[in-house]
Amino acid sequence: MRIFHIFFGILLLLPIFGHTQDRWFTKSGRIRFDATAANSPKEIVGNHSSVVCVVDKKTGALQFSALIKGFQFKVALMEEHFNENYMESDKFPKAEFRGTILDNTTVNYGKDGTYPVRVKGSMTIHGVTKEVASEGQLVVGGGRLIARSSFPVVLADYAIGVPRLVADKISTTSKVSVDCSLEPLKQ
Amino acid sequence: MKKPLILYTMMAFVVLAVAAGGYAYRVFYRTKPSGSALQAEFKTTASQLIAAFYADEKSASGKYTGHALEVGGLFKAAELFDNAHPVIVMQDNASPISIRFSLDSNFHSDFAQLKPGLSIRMKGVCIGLQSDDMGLGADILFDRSIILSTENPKP
Repeated sequence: MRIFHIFFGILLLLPIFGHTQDRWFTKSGRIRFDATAANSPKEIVGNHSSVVCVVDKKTGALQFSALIKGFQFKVALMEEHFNENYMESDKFPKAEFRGTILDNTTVNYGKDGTYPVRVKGSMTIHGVTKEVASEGQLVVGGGRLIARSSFPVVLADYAIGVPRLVADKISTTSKVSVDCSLEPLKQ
Repeated sequence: MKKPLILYTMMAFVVLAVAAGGYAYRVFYRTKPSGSALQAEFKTTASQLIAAFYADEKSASGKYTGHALEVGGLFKAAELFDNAHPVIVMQDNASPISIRFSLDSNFHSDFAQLKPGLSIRMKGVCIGLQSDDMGLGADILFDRSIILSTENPKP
């Protein structure tokens, strides 16, 4: 009877463990943002290394979140303008993406390898949410899952205005690269 | 008499133009101070900081975000991914919120000797509260952080 109780208890706990092991995460993901134009006097590059990312291998759900003030620029004035004039980070402190890996069934999370994937979902930047689609890759290896993608972000799509005075010095489309090294979530 | 006046005026313009150019260049290309050069505007403990964000996130964000803080508390863990961007985690056991300090690139080696339970003081720039949208726990994030001191907790 006692063995039956233990066995029944383990059976009840299985879905909980199963759920947590389906999810991979990082709180130290990286995003690189490049809005350098041909006439820019210096490169306009911001780097973020505290991006939160979660991938659910069972459902293919993918989520990113980054605090705007976490973008670091080499030039202090550039970082101030980025936060105050363009991203208005006090008003819109966060950028996020919630989406799905479309070809999740082609990814073998248990086998080392590089898997090209397509991702679709909604991205919120500067308080504006837009449906986006992008290509990327998932790399399985060494007990980690690396999610990489590069995509363009048209500043006007997210109501980020560039003053006419500096319009030729800032690219109207910035290149965004995401690079997250995820580990299995154990709780 | 007129010639020296014109000459002096022109020289004054040149000096002014050079000074203005130098000032503009300095402002435009000013780099951020490293973690060690930061002047802490607030001195607090991990428990107090977490309590402030827990009680009123908006008010705490307005007060601390973008400012340099000195924070004392218990070291929980150090994380290092791809041999870059080490992060020191401080946590108050009574709260689900952690504090994550991304170390200044000049002080990456400083975290190696830390052991869980050690009392540490950190300095860095607060970039805000990353709320718990994904079931991973909320975090108060710091950039350009350095370790100020470490000591064993009092028995």
